[in-house]
Amino acid sequence: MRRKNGIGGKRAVLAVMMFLGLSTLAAAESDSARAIRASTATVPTNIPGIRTYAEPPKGFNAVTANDVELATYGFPPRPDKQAEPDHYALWERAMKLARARSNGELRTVPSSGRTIIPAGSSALPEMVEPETTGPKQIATTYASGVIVTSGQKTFNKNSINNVIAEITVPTVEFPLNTKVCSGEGYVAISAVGIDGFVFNTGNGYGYDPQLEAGVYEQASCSGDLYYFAVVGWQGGYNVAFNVNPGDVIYASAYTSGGPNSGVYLEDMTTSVYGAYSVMSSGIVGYTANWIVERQCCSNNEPLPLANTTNIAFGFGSAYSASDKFFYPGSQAKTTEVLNMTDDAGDQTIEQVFQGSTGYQGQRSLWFETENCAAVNGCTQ
Amino acid sequence: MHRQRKFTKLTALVVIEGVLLSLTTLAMAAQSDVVRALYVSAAKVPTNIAGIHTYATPPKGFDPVIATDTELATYGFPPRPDKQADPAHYVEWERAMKAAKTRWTGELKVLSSGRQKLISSGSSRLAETVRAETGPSQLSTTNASGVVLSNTQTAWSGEKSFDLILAEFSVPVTQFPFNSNCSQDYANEFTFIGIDDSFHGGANNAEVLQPGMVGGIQTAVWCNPNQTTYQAAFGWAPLALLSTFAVDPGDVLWAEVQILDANDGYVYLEDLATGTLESYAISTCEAGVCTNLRGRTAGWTVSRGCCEGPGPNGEWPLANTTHIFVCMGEAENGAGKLFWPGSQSPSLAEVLYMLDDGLDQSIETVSQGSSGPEGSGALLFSTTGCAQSGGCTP
Repeated sequence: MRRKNGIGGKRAVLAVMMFLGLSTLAAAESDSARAIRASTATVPTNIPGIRTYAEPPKGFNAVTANDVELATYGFPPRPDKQAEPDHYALWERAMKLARARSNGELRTVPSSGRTIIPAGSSALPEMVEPETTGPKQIATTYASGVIVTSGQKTFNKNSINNVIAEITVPTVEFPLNTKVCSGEGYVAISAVGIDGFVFNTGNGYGYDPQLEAGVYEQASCSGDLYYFAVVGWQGGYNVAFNVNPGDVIYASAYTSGGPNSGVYLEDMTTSVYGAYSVMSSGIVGYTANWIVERQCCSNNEPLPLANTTNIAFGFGSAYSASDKFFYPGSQAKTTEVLNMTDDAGDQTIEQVFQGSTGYQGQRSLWFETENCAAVNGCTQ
Repeated sequence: MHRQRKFTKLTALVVIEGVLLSLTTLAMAAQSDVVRALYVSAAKVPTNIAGIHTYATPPKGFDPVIATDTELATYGFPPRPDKQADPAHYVEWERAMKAAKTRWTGELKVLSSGRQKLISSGSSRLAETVRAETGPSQLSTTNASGVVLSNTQTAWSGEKSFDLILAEFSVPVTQFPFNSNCSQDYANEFTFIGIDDSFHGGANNAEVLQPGMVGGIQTAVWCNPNQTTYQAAFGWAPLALLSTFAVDPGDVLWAEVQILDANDGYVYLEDLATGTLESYAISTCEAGVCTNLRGRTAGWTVSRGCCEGPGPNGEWPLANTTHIFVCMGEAENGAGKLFWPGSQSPSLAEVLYMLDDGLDQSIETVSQGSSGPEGSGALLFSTTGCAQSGGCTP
């Protein structure tokens, strides 16, 4: 991947400084800064549709930088300190730790592919469901986790425009007591996302991810183990940088509804980070997702789930431009809680534990690999 | 070490147990006194540490999920939770039992930085916490962060004392604070569940937490030579903390601590990612002098070791672990009543924040929830301030 020397970025900063002034904006990111964010992602990567940002100058301090500078160098927008104090605290912590920008080539993860959605199938939020209390519980072979819904079908101020979480990197392995392996081996992806949705296949439920930021873990048939921070778009994953078991990854996906959205990834243990602009037409901020998923697809079935024992999501939250907050502990009836089953649909293989109230109850999720994905392996 | 008094008791108890329980799997409401006693008497395999015994290796093909309660006790597997009364605990127990593969058989090592006897005899808590009217009380200490639940027991009660605590811990990457350039030679961190942790007044009028009967993880980092260790650890902290098998960052450790009677505890540790496990019975008696357990507190804490470090009470610098996730936390009293780290009871719960040696900044904070499985059972610890970046000046 080529990285420009930042001159273009500096020009953009100067132009916008004249327009906006140099002060640090306390409010949420302005429309102008959003426009800058889209226009300054001028550094091409080796992957079409994904661009990155100029390297910030030495001594650049993201915490004290103004919004234009943040946008110019691809740092996530500064949350409103008054309206979103928790989000601000997380952002500030991540910005203070950001030290080494990843500048390696992006690599496409093999077998990345989109879930095949049968013709005529529909997203679950459109379905009329029987009256229930609390989140809708859904079993799917593809994913486990929580989907919250803004209800916005076009992008506007009430759309979800930012989703974050801090995600543990677990030890990845085969299911205990099995050596059966084929193809890419065993894979798990843990990610935050915008606009991922559940669809009815007519024979169960599927999950279709859209914009994602997260962690990819793979136990390959050769015995090699891989851990990557990844940028995801519609089920395709590109490796931003390597991470290690035991690390904690700050993952943020954000959008302003334009043709490009943003992904910011930071390994909070090593301080390596990457910022990307992703061509993502059609994002409307309808849902926010905190998900562990299987990679699609081999013979129209998702790849076998890796045994990750447990994955924790902390500090999960999502926001709209109108400062509406969404949490993975949501108990709203429109919230969907997914639990992943094996291919036969007869046993849960990745279960999510959700809370409801209190800081941890609202913001954290705990995922467990279970049954045949944990021990003995699942029959394909 | 031999414990002959326990050995003779074992023979008798096995016979009685065979008659009473007929070796069937019991879905009992609470662990029977007979089985509880068996956890003491069956631990007859000596270790290299006085007062600590382990259990016989189970026969090949042994399956703890379908084993009788007597068999579980005989081989040192944690008691089967009541499937009806505590289904969440049962599910986690079953999962851990299915993953259990390899019993660790190495020598125990005394953690030189883990001796927690930093409390002088006769010292007491600075002052009883002024309880909040709503929600848990907030308390700063120089050595611990987390949640501690307290009852009013002054002596062991088979009914009212806390007698069981458990949780699953993520094993974090451990390092020195960012940008500290080896300004410290050594730093450590303990993630523990414990019963009978206690508070005492330390130097500079700061509160100090003394761990009690504990199990969990100890990690440490050295500057020269550069080295990091990750160990499952346990102990009756006033006597000694001990390391067992090595764990790795990214793993998840299941820990369960039980109080069996006024002078005996039980600890089970299992790395859920590798299936490595070990369990121990611990006596609180040393050289004929016994400390009585009370089952007064149950705590989920992150602490730093002592007692020869540069801190005001001999604390060592806290290692930077970024975040530690503690999940599926639960405690129980002898009557089977359940308690959680997300407790919001003003009369029960205290939330601890760890301060640096200068008492002027938090270096380990904890986020608590309140309801739902994650809200009640999970805690998220964060290394902050000078322990996260820059290093803390003694």
